[in-house]
Amino acid sequence: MSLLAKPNDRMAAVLDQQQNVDMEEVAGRSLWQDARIRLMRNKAAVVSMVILAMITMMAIFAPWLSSHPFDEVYWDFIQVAPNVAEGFWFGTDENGRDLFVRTLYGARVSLMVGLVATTVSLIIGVTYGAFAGYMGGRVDNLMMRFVDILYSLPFMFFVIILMVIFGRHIFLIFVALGAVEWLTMARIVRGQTMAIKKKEFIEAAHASGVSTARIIFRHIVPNILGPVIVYMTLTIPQVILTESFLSFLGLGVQEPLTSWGVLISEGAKVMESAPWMLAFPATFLAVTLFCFNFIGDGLRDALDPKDR
Amino acid sequence: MSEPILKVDDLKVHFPVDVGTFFSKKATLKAVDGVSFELHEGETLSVVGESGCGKSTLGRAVLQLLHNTEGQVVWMGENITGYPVKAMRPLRSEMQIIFQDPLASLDPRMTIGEIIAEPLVTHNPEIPKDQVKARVREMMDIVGLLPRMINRYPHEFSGGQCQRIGIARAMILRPKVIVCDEPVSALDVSIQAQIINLLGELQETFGLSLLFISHDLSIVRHISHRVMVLYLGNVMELAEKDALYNAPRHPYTQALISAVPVPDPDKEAHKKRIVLKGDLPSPINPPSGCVFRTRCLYADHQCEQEKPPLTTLNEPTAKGNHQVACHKQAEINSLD
Amino acid sequence: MSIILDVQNLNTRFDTPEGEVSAANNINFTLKKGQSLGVVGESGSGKTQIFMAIMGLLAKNGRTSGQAIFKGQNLLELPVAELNKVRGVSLSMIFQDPMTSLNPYLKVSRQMTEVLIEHRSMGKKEALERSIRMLELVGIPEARKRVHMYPHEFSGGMRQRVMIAIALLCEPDLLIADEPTTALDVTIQAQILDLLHNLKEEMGMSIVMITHDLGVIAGMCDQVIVMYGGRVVETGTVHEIFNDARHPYTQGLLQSMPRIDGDHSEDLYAIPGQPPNLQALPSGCAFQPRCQLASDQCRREQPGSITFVSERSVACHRVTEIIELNQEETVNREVAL
Repeated sequence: MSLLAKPNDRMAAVLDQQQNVDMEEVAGRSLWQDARIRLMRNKAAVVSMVILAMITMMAIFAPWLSSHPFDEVYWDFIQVAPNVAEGFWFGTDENGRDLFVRTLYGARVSLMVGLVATTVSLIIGVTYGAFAGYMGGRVDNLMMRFVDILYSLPFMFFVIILMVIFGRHIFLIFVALGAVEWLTMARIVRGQTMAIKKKEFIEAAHASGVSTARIIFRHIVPNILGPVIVYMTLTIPQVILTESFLSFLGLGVQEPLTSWGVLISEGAKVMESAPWMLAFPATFLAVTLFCFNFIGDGLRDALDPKDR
Repeated sequence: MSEPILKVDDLKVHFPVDVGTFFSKKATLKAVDGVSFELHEGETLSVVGESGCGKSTLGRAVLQLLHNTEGQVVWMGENITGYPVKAMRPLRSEMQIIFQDPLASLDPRMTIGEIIAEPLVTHNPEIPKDQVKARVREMMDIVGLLPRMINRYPHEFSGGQCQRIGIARAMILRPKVIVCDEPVSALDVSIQAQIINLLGELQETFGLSLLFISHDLSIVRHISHRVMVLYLGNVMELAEKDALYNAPRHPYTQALISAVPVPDPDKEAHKKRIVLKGDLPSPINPPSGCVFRTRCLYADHQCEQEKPPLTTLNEPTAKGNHQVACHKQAEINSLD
Repeated sequence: MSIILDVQNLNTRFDTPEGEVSAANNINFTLKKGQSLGVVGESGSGKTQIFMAIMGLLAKNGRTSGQAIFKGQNLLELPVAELNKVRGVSLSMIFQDPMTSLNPYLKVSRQMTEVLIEHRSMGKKEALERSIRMLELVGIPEARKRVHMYPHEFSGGMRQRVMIAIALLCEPDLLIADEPTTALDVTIQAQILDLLHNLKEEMGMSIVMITHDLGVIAGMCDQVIVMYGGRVVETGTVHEIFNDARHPYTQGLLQSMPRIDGDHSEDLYAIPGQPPNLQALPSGCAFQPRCQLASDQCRREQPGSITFVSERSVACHRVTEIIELNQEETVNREVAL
């Protein structure tokens, strides 16, 4: 069987890549690029992103979208139905304020609470979780028991105490929500870190003498970002919902500032006589929550390594 | 013979483990239990054994990636046992490792260029970027990768190519020793040969020493100079390749070699195969005396009582330094 | 000898987001009673998918066409209810990882007796006795005690034996073994191969052995099928394949295997290049980019299968030249001797 002469082994590996040899460097496609392409193929996620972008833009440019200020009381138009001629597109509330503008101002508060609280939870959660997961052993044990203890505290009770002590302030809502949401993030990050830590490429880095800090930031963090991003997109609607719930209970933002939760709470009281007061803010809230969830699902599918 | 570049003396690696479901008891898992060997420049020493025999643990302990419980690892005359991470760091450029799973050993978020450059950048942060790139490209060429693939990501390569990337990363600092932990067992047959030849070629060109860990006796026969047979963390036999394969002395080695199927239907039909009974005992509670005695055809009272020491054969027929750990060795081998 | 399995023109395709992928194309073979067939190929050669299709175990996005006649029934067209009367009864399959087919939450005794109660309408006691006898047959010590253990309480080799025992419970006529020893150590592999060999001899069972290890094939099989890129490239008896390989891939595979009994002074022969990706097969012959004999014709046309005698076929455009070269070499070798 000496029919096949022994080829130079190096040639062997090259052979199959040779079809289009030019010495240009070829650009690779990173996993992030792959994920983005997959995400863009997901219609529900793309539509959600567009809608969400529109709502965000409307919230940002609210003062310029209507001639009515959000806190001005129009005495002639108490609780009127949507009225295009006068510029009250969504009608007015029981105090005669323009509901369209108020809904958009509510969007400002709700989206901001969602973003800020999630960012707070992201920063604390990722740092805490990655540290605990990487250190392992007793340190990890202690840190995670602390998380367990915080978990077991009744959240509503915690918020009410905060409100009673420090008074109602939007900043407190950020703190209260961030303080609770980071717990789950920390658990997720810790679990991911522990899984990644055992991978051979981490061992390879150790064997090359790479420093611990570099291993964490160069190798571990980029590899846990996927699940973190997914969880983040799913945390935002959760935070918005919690804020709405707090506002519904009367623990949310202070008048005349408003949020979707406050608007829904007010609307619910007059559901039968003025249904528009409930319908508009509730629709906005529901659409936003749907969008975040669709994006989260889309991201999870796009980032899931099993799909490769 | 010249001074060995790596000397391992009575190395033991024990792990504490919990046994029992509710009331856990502390027990010790003796992964490596008293292994000694020397590795010379330009030599391939293979470590063979079944899963759970401690061969991978041995490889990692030699690199001090995990700390040994007892014994010494002497690197070029320097006892590096128990060196802290910081003290080990400069030595890491001299000793490298390649892994079994080629894809898992590469960071999926980094390009090939970044992966191969990492050891270089870590040890020589002062080298300018374009020089790093030039050296990465040179290394890629040496291991048979097209340098223009430098910006690609690991998932865009096949298993064999990923293993070449792993080898390039290990080679870029021109180390003296590479521990190869089952480097081809996850690859297809036609690709295994490519990687084995590449390792042989690199060894010749750069005078590398290889500690080749494998369970595949055919591959080991092809690549090694000397072979060490491990069973439950103990050395059973250590000899020159040809001596070990042509005249194995330890009953375990004999069984191991006879169990390997040969791709030749005529030979297979007439081969006498020694089939060992039973399974590998647990390394948490290894048998007393000789660890192999529970599966050995020749075991007797002495084997149960005393642990056989690894002794050098001093018969005239024995070639080189042939070491065997068996009480019955002389008896068994005079039978046939 | 009667034919137990007759596969004709079998095709398997998978729908993937990247388009349709052919895992197996135009597969034809027959297996006689009491014989064993080895199926060799690298990962992604389609060797497993053929038998997954025959067992009706393809993934949801898979489709099959053609026929696979087993004891007079075309398995590919049987409704699931009918297929279940065959699967695990007269046709059994064992896998590389025993844990995938053993339920970790059920005792072995339960998993074994259920099969017998269902298919052989045995009573519980009788079924248990038979299960114990089966475990003893596959060489599990203290079977009477161990039958009541959970799968995870067995070691890897023992688990593989348990799986074989379950597969053999209803005394199948055909056992399909997919890489049954790949995950095992050589000494355990030797035990399992011995066991399968004895079962074949004593029970007259036919065996299909799917593996990438030519050594296992050489010791176990009568007939061999070599697969590459979803197609059969060569078939023949074990002697024909090992002593007179005619497809360049088979030749390369045989030469690239490091042998424990061979010459070790030289470099191994290495087939250049990488195994093909089924989603992007090269034009013409799938092996053409790695083949040193590839001609323009090989790059253009898919080679058809050339049959020499009933069970001997090769799919290569240049087979006549290869046969001549093989003969020349044999002559040369004899002259040298």
